[in-house]
Amino acid sequence: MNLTLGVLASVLALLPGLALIAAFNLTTRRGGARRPEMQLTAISALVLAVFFSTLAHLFTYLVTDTVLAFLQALSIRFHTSAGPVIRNPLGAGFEALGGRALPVREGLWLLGVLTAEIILVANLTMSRGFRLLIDNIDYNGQGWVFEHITRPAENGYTPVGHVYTSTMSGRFGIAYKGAVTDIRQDEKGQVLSIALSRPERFLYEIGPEAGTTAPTRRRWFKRDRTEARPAERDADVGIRHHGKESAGGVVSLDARVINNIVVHCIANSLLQEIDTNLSDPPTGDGE
Amino acid sequence: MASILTIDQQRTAGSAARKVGGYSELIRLERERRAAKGHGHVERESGTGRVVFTGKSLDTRPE
Repeated sequence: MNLTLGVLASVLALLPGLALIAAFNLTTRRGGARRPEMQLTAISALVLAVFFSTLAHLFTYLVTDTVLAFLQALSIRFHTSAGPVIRNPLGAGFEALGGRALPVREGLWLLGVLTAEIILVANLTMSRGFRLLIDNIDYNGQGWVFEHITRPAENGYTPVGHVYTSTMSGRFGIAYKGAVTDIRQDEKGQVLSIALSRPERFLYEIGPEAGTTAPTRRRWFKRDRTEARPAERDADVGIRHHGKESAGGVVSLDARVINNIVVHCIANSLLQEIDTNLSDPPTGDGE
Repeated sequence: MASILTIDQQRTAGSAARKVGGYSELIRLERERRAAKGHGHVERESGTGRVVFTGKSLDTRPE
């Protein structure tokens, strides 16, 4: 057998396993972050393809053999004939790989059996049960992104992110709040960029509230005994949000400008209920 | 690479945030929904115009 035919024959033999990997890649397409698509050139993909192809062929061979034997028994029992008896199409197919001629009738049945195998494997891979099986596996090492963004998004939640940027002027900085549409990581899991859809833009302030001043240092002998205790001074120190406005569209933020990311998850059912049942606010607040 | 949320999910989230007055309000409503174990519905208070999650459960634990 020459090389081209050899490759074709190998692909045919590994077809169920390759179908499984293709279906798996389709299913996990929405994994977000760094695409967890399984590369066909990876050695693990080859091992998986061989393993699942063997399983699928074994199962199909047994089923086909049983069906053929049953049909032959029926034909003998009722003295009828539906044409010449054929060999098991899978067996005939593998014999053909060894150089034995494959009759057209068995070749057609082989195509049918392979198609049935692919449909079975693809259905299993894209089924809810299989998704549940791999649901808690962070096979791409996304870390917190997997636990707080990817997995909730796959299971009926919308991740909403607050991104505090390093674009600051004095104590004030710009921050965005919106649904996390895209987040990308490098090989080590470091965040490269994040995109928020329909974001709100607001200012955040760090330190004592505007209008108040930090207590000035005094010499110990001049210190006023009624000066605020440290705990009271701490009360007006922290992060405050100001001036929220709806930015609309999508904002994409590069890792260089991101200071912090805070993520909350909101159930899609709640968002759907609000969107369907509530009307727009009577006043223009919040815009 | 692909988006985490579909266009429709993005639109729904943006629209819901606009209707309740911002993403902070959505996060508060989600907290209320979890406290009520998901049983209940959202409604707008007639006086204040604020949207609240009214729970149906008999759970009386303090939040």
